[in-house]
Amino acid sequence: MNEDWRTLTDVDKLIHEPSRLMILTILVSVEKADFVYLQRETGLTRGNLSVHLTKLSEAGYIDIQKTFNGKVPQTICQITDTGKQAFLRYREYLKSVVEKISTSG
Amino acid sequence: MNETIKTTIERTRQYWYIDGFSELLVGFIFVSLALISGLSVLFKPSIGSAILVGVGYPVIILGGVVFGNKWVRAMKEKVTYPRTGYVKYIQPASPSRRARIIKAFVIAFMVSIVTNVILSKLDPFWIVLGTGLLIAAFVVYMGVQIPLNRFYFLAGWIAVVSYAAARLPLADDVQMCILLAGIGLGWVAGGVVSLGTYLRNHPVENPEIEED
Repeated sequence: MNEDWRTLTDVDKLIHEPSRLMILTILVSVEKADFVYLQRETGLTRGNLSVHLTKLSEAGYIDIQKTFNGKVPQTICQITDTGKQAFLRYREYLKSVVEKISTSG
Repeated sequence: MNETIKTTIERTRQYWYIDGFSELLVGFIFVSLALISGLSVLFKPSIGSAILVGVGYPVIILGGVVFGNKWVRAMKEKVTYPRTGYVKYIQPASPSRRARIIKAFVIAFMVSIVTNVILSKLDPFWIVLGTGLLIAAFVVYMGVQIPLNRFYFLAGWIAVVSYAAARLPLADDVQMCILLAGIGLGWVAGGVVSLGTYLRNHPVENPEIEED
């Protein structure tokens, strides 16, 4: 495989998954967001969202805080510096893919 | 994919305006300014009129910035966050609270001076029309930045009110009072419609309760 094309397959698969990319995109544009907001914006089921949040948290891309707002449980998510850097790298990767495709075509 | 990222970021920015509370606040500020202007017309030509405008404008603008923002946040805590979720926006690195208050006061005072001294030397028709069109242009700018289409309708309304107020065969301070009231009512109407639509479309629920 050509070296140029090999770098294209060198993608952060954790972010590349559309749901997790959407979650990170939301979190990179705010300081914090809770579970309810993320579920509404992503359209994911509660179970799916929980799984994706856990994966992102385990990778160190987001911080999850479980608190209570009165008697209502609240899960607040915040992107970490590692997460921000991974997101920016992914955006650069996307740009390079588009550039390579347009120059090779 | 880049387009999706852009859209997601825009939607997050638009979320602040989903409930109409910030529009209600802006509307309330404009209507209050109109009331102060109206009262100053009643007291004219006494010194009380000038004092009312000179002190009233900064106090309303400053109060709107400080207490109005607190009110918007409190309403969001009570109404919006339980329905559609909590978001804390990234705050630009800002100076201290005292510096912000002083800055807001200086801006409010400058607005008051510009309104009462510099603009008073122009033809009344252009003062009223120019003020309204400047505000309309700023609303268009906001509509582009957020982006939010309903701000374009609001800007259109402000432009119409500006022209209508400027054309009225009334004293210039009464025209300005009508202009401010018209702008304020436009914002309030936008806020009420947004809030009504929001409440209809988003009954209270908390998915996290079922999740746990």
